Amino acid sequence: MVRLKHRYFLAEIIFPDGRRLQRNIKSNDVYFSVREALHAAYGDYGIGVLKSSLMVKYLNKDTHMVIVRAKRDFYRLAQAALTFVKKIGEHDAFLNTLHIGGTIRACQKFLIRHHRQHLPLLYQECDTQEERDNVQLMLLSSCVDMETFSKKTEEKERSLSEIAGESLT
Amino acid sequence: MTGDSEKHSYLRQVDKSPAPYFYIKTSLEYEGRGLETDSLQLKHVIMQSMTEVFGQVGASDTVDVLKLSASGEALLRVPSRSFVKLWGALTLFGKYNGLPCVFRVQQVSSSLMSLSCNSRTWDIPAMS
Amino acid sequence: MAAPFANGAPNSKLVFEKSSFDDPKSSHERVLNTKYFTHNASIILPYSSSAAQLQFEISEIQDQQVTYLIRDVPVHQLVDKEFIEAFVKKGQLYILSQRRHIDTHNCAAVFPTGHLLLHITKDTYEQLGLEGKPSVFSSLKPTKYVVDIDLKPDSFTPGRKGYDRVLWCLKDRLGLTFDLLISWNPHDEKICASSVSKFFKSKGLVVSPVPWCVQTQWQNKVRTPVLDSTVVTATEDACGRAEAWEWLGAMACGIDLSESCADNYISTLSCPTPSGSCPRCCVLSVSGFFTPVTTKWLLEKVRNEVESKQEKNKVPWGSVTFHGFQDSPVSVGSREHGFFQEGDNLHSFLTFCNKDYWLYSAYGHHDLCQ
Repeated sequence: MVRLKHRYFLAEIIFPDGRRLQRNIKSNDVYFSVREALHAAYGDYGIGVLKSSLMVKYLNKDTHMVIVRAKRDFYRLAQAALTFVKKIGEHDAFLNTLHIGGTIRACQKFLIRHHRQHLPLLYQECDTQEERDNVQLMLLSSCVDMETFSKKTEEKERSLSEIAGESLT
Repeated sequence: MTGDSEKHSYLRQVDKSPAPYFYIKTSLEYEGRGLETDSLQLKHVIMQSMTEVFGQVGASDTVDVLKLSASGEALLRVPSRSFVKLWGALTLFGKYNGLPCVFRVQQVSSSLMSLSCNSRTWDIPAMS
Repeated sequence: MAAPFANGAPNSKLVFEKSSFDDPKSSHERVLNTKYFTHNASIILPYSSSAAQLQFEISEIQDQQVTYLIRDVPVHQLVDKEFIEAFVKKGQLYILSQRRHIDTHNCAAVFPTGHLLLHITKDTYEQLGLEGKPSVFSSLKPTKYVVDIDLKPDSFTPGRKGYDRVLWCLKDRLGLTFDLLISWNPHDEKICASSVSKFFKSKGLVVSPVPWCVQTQWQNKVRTPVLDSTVVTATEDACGRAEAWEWLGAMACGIDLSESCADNYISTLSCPTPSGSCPRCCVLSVSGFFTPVTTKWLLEKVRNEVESKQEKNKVPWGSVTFHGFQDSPVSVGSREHGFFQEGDNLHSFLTFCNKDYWLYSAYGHHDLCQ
């Protein structure tokens, strides 16, 4: 059997007013705005080839991250259409594609790494001491995570090199 | 290969890749009566049909209306990469301003010269 | 482009040759002799004088050959022994079925080499029972077959097994009939070319002569490209072959390339640069059924027109294009020809006054081109 292959787009919704607020967006809104953009750019043909596979798999209302799925054969149409989105629901917004992956898992991994890298930026934006403490705590925990992660990989590499050394001798 | 020093220089070049342009001979027919079409309107209809089926990206290639004869036959020129798209869009087009209409493609070719005659429609006139 | 729109445009071929009529190895005679069936000839002559006239009478074309249309000919008439002896062996016989589409119908043709070619559908082929080959353009499941019968050998005669089998298959197994275009060019000059019509009339068939029809257009003040027979790719001083080819096509189709019509929105086609002004240009088109006899005569006339030294009728270069039948089973010689979206097989001579010529040969997707 052949698996039906997809591409997953990890995108960030950016609102031109630049404020990080929780907004009332449903994943259906995102779906329809992408579909409309696809129709405008590629017409009935684009809808015809992608409608069966186009789907919003994940929407985080707090961080404004979405994962959109499209058939792999025509994912370039969807990729182009994502850039043409101008409005989501009733908000002016556009999508910034961060990552294209073959599985949702790959997108999730990328998302976690992405958030980690952007924690220092969030710290700068903090206004109250409480927020700052919160972010600092998160930074610390992510660093601990990173440390344990790097320790684990170091151990793994060491054991691998030991095995290799044994096999050499 | 073009040795100018030779008296008769022979040169042969073969183009096997798709030609840069394709040419389509077509006519726009409205249901019931023949409606007056001018080239400006025809161009608009063609662009509309392309946008409907293939969107703004599909319609971004230039379609030239080279000629519109009095009998309603039009000669179109299109880059070969969107030749199939244009033919498909013309086929799927069915309504303009609420009037049912149809594009009839008579002849296509990669060289404009071959559209000057069509042996398939040759009607042998009776010898007077 | 990001979007994977399929590009399904057919692969047509354009062969460009540059040579000279003086060159002993020049292929123009060979090309014309083996291009058996021509439907239309279009001639484009840009004159440098506004009072120019054609130097030859196009009506003389009728002296070159006579063509007949014979309705509903049973195909076994063509393997009739009497017919073979009287016409196939004693002259150049050109026969082509008319109003049959090569991609869907049965077609038939006889060449001056004495071959009868049946280009038939799968159903007919299976009923017929003669040996043939699938058409070279067919995919895994052939829909068209080609049966080639040589009429000329002495062994092809009644009483022999091969002949009797062919006759039986064509006559008793299948009642194939065709509307045929026939032109015959006897070896012996004393025999009249019209005797072929008498033969078919005696068999009780309806024979009518096929007229040729001519359209002449004189256009005044035309922009023409500047051409140099030695410059093939465009430079600052002369247009290249590709630009010239498109311009010739535009003239033959009657497209207005003048400045006033150069509206970018409707059409971006314009006369290639550098261009000159031509006071009077003749666009002439003759259609009918032409054999190599006539096409060679036409080329000769165009060459005379271009190469003549008369000041009044000066033509820097001239062009004559021979359009083959779209539904002809062969394009040049015995090269198989088919129809896929287009059935082009045309040869275009662009002759210069220094006896150089450019030959454009355009073939459709289904054509065996060298």
